[in-house]
Amino acid sequence: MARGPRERLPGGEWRPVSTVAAPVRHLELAGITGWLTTTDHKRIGLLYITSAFAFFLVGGLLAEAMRVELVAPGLQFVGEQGFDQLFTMHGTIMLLLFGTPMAIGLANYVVPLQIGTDDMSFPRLNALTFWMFLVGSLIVLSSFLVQGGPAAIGWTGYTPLSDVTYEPAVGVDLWIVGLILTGLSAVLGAVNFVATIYGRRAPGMTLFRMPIFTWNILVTGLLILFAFPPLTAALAMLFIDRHLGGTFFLPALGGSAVLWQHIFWFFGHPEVYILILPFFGVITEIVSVFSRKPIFGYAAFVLATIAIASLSMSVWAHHMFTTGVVSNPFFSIASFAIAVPTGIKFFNWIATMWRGHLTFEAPMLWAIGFLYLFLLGGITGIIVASPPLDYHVQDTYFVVAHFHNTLIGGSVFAIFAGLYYWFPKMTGRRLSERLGRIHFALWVLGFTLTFLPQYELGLLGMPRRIADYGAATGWRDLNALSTVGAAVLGLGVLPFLVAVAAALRRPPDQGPDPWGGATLEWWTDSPPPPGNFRDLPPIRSVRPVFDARLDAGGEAPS
Amino acid sequence: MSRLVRSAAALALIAGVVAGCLPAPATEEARATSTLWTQFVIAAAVVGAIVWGLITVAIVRFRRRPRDVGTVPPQIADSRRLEIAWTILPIVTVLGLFGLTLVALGKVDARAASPSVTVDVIAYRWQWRFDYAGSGISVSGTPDQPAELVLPAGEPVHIVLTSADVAHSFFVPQFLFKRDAIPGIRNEFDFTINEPGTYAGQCAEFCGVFHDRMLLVVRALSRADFDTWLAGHGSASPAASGAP
Amino acid sequence: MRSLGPEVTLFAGMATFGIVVGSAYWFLTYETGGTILLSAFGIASALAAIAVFVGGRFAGRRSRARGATGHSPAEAEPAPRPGWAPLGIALGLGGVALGAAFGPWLAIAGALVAVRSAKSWLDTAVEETDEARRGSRDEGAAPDR
Repeated sequence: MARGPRERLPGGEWRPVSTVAAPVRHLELAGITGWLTTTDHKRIGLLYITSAFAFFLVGGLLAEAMRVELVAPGLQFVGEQGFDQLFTMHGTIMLLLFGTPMAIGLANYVVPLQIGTDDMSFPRLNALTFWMFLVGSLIVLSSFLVQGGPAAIGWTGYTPLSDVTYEPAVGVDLWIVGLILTGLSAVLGAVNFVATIYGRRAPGMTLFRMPIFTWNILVTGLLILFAFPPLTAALAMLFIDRHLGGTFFLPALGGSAVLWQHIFWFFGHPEVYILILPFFGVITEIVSVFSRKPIFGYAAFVLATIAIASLSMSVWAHHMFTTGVVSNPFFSIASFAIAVPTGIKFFNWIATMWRGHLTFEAPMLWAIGFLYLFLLGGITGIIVASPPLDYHVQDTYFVVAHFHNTLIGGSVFAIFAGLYYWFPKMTGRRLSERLGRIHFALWVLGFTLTFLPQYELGLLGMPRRIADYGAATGWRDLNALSTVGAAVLGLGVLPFLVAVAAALRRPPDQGPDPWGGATLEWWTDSPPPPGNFRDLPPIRSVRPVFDARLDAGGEAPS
Repeated sequence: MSRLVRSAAALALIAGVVAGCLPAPATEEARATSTLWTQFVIAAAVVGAIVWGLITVAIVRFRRRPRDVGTVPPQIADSRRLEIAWTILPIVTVLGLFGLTLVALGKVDARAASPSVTVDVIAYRWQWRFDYAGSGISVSGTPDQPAELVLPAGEPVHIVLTSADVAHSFFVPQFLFKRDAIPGIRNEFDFTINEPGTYAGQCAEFCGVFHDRMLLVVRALSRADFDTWLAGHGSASPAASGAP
Repeated sequence: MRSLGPEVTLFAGMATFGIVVGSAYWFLTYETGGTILLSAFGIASALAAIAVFVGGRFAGRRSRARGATGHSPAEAEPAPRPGWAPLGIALGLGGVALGAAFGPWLAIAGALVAVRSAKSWLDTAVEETDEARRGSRDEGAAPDR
């Protein structure tokens, strides 16, 4: 049989796959200019990833400041107004300037590689979305520099508090317009992803042969398309209320304060699934590769992802159980329902590992950490989905602990898993395993110390978004523990930064496939050449690179 | 087998600790919530034991051994039976939990046929005003002296809750209950406090710079003491004037 | 010509979900806001399904006319050159946004920058398409690498 990539025709005989006819890539311009003018998805992906990570560090510092204030009773650090600004900006930065763009960045880099094409469907639009995201983010952050400082309304911006009557400072307006820009950027990016995944798959890659990460990005893209426009609309309406004589959200003038909550959470709940679905995909791929087994229940994963996304559009008012104006049973059963596809994913992850040959390099460590921690986040999600229980824990540290559990134990752990996994592909170097283990250990310890006490604090009745609490409450010791944990988390980022810097100092030395991967990004060089692929293996399954490796000599991944 | 027993015991211990972490329920309705909490914790412990247990078994038993290097394990990729089983199991669990939820919700949100006192609670930045219907009594507080909501113990009480400005939330942790105070919306709910006593509360919806100081106290008195308070209002409790 | 079945199914499925749940929500709660949001989601999804379906039919006719090349039609389009337009538009839109917060002069300046960059984008895109058409006329239907 002839060597080299080939595919099987319907009649049964093999013929060589025509090499990818990539259009000639224009060479990048040199230096910084090259980065400012690029339309290449790999560069744009790296721009997104580094910017998002920088904002992650900023958001983290804000959190450390909050924890210092809360370590003991008394206003000893930033005061009440400062604290309110900190939690507003911490939430806004982490969810909208870090989490979402990090997912988009990873998707930008990886998805065209995984579907075997040379770039996104709309490369210049792709560049536009990054610059809009960066400009919008900087506008939001510029509120630190204006009179009155940043907005102090919570990342949720409830009305009428966020109206000009109660919060007149321009920081709120910068928050609004900056987020309108980043929101538009997300929508345009989603259009690009959906179009790319629909239109640029390599020959042989049907929808049901796509990698799970790409599938999850497709579904996330659809969620962004449906969830972000309501946010943009709500922000515009708030701006109109504040400065153009509107009364949408002002009850005294005929408006409805709770209307904001409806529209915001119609965005806000799908947003948290936008923040987790891409990373479910990362975990699925890593668990499969590092168990040396195929993804167990591929179709189940796909259907579960679609189910989670659809259901997530119908649960928004579980954030409003205590308002007294929504149908609590409707939103409760819908929220419980999401546990089913999520549970299916958990069982399929375990089944993927079952009877595999597991190794525990850094990506797999983070993936396993994810499995342990996200389960707790999911379980506490079931608890808050029950209105009587939510009547007690809503707006307390129980909810804070729950969403940090899913966002850190879930999204951030999976982000680190993905960064350690794809770093060799992006740079041609591997991150230090030793530093990776230290990073992981500090983050498991730090997460546990910071957030498990917060579950208890919430149950005891400590509300969220309070700058201070009385000595008589008895909340001091758990708060102190939580602050120690936050310090550990902060320290724990250092090994990662050191590892990245050290790796980039070394010359590139990684081949196309350092981990024994299965999907197309592991076929090409690390980093990929312009145009991504000189050739492609035949695509007859979800695991074209695995199949090609077996074909080439029956050799198993090491 | 003994390892199984030991893990089950450890789990029961943890579940017990966590279940005990709720404040002791101080109202009749809170008892229903507390029971529901225990039921959920047990369910959570079972689910956790199964799933965490399976993950742990997987990462311990299926570590790659040196003899496995260079080979692949059996490439099993699906099982219709397992998929059905672990779809049905979560559905049944979730439906069960929802059923328990509906039962508790019915008790917590139930309206009393004839409450013995009705109080209009108005939340404002950054204190509370309590207007006792039909008696002309109005109580509000200051940051140093939080408003006191004096109520009879052992009898159903009716609250009509709203806000004079931004969204607030009326939260008493020992009642295991909160309800939002939203301008333009009248939220009504009932509860029966089990025993006389003092129960701390505070605003639970961010409402601006002094949100953290927006405290309140519920003081439950026996019927006789409550009548005394009503009659001699002004002597038994602080009654600051000047609410908006 | 690749069938667009699964893509249309995905949008159609979401449309069905949105419309069914939106209707159920109305009759269960009579709450306007949520009903509108859910139904809008369903209708938007339905529009997307129709658009993908019709677009697929149209593209199918076009590629059959051209003769199947074995490459997806997307491959034949030119890759865009690097350029300043995206950054320019983003900065311009940033100016418009800041203008909303600080004053109309900033918004006008931003709009001018954005429009200038958009024009440059359009010009470059037209140039690239012309080049590609000239190139494919000279070399034949498909690159022979």
